[in-house]
Amino acid sequence: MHLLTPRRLAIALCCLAACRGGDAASPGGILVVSAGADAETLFPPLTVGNQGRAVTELLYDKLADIGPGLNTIGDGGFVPKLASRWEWSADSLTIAFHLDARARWHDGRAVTARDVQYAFRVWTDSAVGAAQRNALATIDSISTPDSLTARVHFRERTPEQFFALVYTLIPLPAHRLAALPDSALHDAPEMRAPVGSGPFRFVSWTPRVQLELAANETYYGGRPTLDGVVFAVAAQGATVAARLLSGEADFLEQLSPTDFAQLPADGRVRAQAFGGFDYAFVQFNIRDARDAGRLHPLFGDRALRRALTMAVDRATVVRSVFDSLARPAIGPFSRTQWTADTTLTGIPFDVAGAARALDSLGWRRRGGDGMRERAGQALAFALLAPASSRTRQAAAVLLQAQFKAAGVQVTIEQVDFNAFLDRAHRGAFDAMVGGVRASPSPRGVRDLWGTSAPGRGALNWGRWSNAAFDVQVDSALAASDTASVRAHFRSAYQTAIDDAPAIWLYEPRIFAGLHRRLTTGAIRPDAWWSGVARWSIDPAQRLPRDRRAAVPR
Amino acid sequence: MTRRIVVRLLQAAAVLAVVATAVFVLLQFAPGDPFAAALDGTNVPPSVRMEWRARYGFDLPPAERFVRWIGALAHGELGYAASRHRPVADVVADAVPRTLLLVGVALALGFAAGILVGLVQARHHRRWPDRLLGALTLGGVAMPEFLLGLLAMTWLGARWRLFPVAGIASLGDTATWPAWERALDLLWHLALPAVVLAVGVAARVARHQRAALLGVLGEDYIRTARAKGLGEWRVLWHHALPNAIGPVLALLGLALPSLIGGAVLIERIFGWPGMGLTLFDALLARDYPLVLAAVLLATVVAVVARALTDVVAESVAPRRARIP
Repeated sequence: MHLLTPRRLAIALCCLAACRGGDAASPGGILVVSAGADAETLFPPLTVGNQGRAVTELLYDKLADIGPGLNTIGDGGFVPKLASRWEWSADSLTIAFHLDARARWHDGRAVTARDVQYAFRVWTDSAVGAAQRNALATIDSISTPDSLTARVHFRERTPEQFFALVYTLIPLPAHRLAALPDSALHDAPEMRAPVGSGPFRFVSWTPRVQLELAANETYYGGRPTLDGVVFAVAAQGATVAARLLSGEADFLEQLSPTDFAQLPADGRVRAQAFGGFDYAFVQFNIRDARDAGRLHPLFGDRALRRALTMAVDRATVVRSVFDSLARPAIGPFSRTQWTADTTLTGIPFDVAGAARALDSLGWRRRGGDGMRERAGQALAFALLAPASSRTRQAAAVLLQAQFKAAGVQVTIEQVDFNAFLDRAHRGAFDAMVGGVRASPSPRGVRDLWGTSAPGRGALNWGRWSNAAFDVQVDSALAASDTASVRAHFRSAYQTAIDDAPAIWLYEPRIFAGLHRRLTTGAIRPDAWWSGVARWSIDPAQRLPRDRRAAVPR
Repeated sequence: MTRRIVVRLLQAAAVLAVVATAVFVLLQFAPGDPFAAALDGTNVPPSVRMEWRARYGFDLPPAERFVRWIGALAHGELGYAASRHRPVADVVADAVPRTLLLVGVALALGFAAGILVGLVQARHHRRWPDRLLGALTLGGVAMPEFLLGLLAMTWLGARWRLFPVAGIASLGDTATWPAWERALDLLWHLALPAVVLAVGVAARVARHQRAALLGVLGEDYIRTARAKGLGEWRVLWHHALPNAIGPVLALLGLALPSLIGGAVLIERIFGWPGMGLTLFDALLARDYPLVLAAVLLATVVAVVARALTDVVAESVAPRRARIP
């Protein structure tokens, strides 16, 4: 079965071309988003998941937003939002943001520098527990020389200081919230009916059912083309897709391979590609699962890790699980990140080479079942996989078969997602099929693959440690010009690939599902919702639900 | 009667205490907590996770948490649903009426249809309608609810678009609609999940009703009624059914807890935001206070349903109910 047939590809490309020319849209229509999860909160500092981010970033504007190139160094490509312009001090330790005088909160009050200052206080107050507080660790304070100027003072210069600030900090309405103690903000009723500054205003929220936003008629950036956005929530994956396929919804963030195969032939629903940041891998536990002070009896050996990597035909795994909806991963990064390098040299699939390497390490095939052993010890390990991910389960089964052909006995341990996280966190596994959603910033690689230490390696559950990798990543993150950053990351990535702390499995191609009545621009890979204010619905294809315009109540 | 009620209440309290303790202990063996489910695997710093855990008491030893939870429960407080950023009582207050509506409608539909089918089968005993309906009810008993739900959602919802795929109301600003239009909209959304839930109930009730009717159709008073020249339907409806309905009504007490169990999956499939979906979400999120509240409520419903069934059975057939 080919999910991405030439015909479907042609339709998708035509639609993409049509989308890019769809500016002459008439206002109106309500976008219905079929969502598999609800926003956990509408209070920006506490949002963790993508759904919460989508809603809060439609409600609240940032000072500036990352550009289509997803550059995270300096301020190149960043687009003004609440701040119409900004100036750097000569020593780069201060940035003065000049707020757009037209910007208003949804209750009509002007957005001021005090709102930026207040937001910084909230974000950094441990009583609030903002999820991304660490991203603002290099900021010392924010001063407000006048009502429309917020001066951000940094403790130190870092290449990503601008990105870290504007990507994380969302100004909050001080005039409504400052009277509340910070510790009460978690559960304050105001958080359930937020007043933002963004292109859409809050209308209603029935948790786990639907969340409704309406166009902000007085938005300083111009009224959104759409009249409103409704997030329709369903827990079951099949239901989420069925809503789009039945026409009840207009948009689905990510089509699964199964959904893709069900796209109707009449073109009512189409797929639109946009790069994602996900990649998956088989992570080896370098330390003994029972005693972290010792190396793992198998995976502490670099040569064995490389031999096992060589035994895996990743292209076949990817094709079998995703058809054409994913491609083999290259290393500890996503191709969508600006530091990605597709010219790196991976460990090739080589059955004979793997067999030779295993033989040379003393792992020889025994009679009978053909499995390998050394000094009476079988070459066997357990592969942990989360039950919540069908694709990772399928990949685990295929890997098991490929390892068996190489004489390696693999037992799949399929566990509930919470149990998976718990065991991963404790390092209680031999190897696991892991996956991450990276961000535009390559900084996350330090948490995921850096040596465990304060400020790094927090998510390095395989406890791999490589000094050369750490040094290159540190150098990359300290470099201020993009060429140097790229060069250091290239070196770090190559080190990781060569040392094989993981088998880099696949990167899914992300396809959003769209009803044909919907016209979008290019969808930003890190935040599909970033351009929703300019999306439109064909007037000829409007439905009764579009005429029932969402209005604030 | 008073003594029976007091005994029933004491039994119910004991059941609740055992269930609460058992569920709490079992949950301690499950890995994770609301913050592990939400934050582990993200780049949220460990210090923030600790702050969140401390805020809601998840850093305390299980025994202390249990004592605190029981103490709060005694004061009518169900705790805080960290995964929803709301008090458990608020979450439950939203969800319970929706589940009661779904289960109530399914129960009414299931019993009405089941009794009717049982009557038709008894009327046409050993003829083709009886055999056909017998096969269908067997299928209804055997068919898993989630499978039927997925089939109904896929075909009647997504493909033929006869019913909404999910939710409890049409999308958009339904709050401005007239009340009757909103009620119709609610019924339209309720139709698929309620019918799917009702199918299993109807099948079981029909089989019991058929057997009970056949059991009384050989009685003397039925023969007398027929000898008086009454039509067969009249005999069935006025003479046989009142004497054969008791055992079927006793099924109510059994059907309600199983329907609530079935509602967990059906609510998930149809996006019906009741207690079933709440429980499912809470389990995935390891939101223990919410799980405990949901399980306790389900237990209360089961206990009350059982007590009501006894009362109904006694009022329908007093002599039968008094048999020890």
